[in-house]
Amino acid sequence: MDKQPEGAVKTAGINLDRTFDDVNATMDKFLEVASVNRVYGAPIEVGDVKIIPSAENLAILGYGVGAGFGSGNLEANEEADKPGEGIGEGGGGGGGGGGKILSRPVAVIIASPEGVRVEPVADRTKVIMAAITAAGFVAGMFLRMSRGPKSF
Amino acid sequence: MANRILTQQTSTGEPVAVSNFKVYPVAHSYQVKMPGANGGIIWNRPVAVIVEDSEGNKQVLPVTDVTRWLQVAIVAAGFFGVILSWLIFRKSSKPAD
Repeated sequence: MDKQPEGAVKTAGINLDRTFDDVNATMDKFLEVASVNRVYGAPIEVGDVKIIPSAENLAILGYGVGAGFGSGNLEANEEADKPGEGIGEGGGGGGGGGGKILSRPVAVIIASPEGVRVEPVADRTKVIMAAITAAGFVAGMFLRMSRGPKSF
Repeated sequence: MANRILTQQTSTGEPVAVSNFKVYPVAHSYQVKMPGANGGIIWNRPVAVIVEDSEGNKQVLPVTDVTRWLQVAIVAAGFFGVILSWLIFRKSSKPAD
């Protein structure tokens, strides 16, 4: 059994401080996404040329922890018809969370002895989807306006 | 600092040496952490690369997000198209005096 740190909250065998420490450790790992190493990949060497991929990252995380405990009221039960019942304590706790990391290539940096250049990466699927959505919206509004105002 | 809702940070990575150049990657990150809420959002994107030659001259090459620019341009064009067609139909549907 680990020694309990001073001031630690311990209820019915549940160490809340430790639980929160674990959660904070998870949060710290999540915050590592903000590192520059997550944006730029390891350089790929092709002869004298080095290619550095770069990507945009969006990370979303949410979590929750909860715990509860209860104990029987000894004095009240001793006075009642069935003394001794309900004596004791118990508790439980739990937590859950979820997250998602979205990543999209943005550009590649090509570094050669002649110089360094940045080649953008266009995501055709996203562009086409945006174009279809915008065209649909414009066509819908155009049709609605061409019918004129509704009369009842 | 830790209690701020929005934190933005610009960070520079380790240089990549190529021939007589050194390439420093630069990234920008935004962190949103709502007070009282467990979790958060991090948006991290490349901004530029700084190229340093053997003489110490530095040049900044911006990393352009072409996809984002195209998406914004398409949405803006769609919005402009709707406004334009609304103006045209509004003018043509006015009763003659």
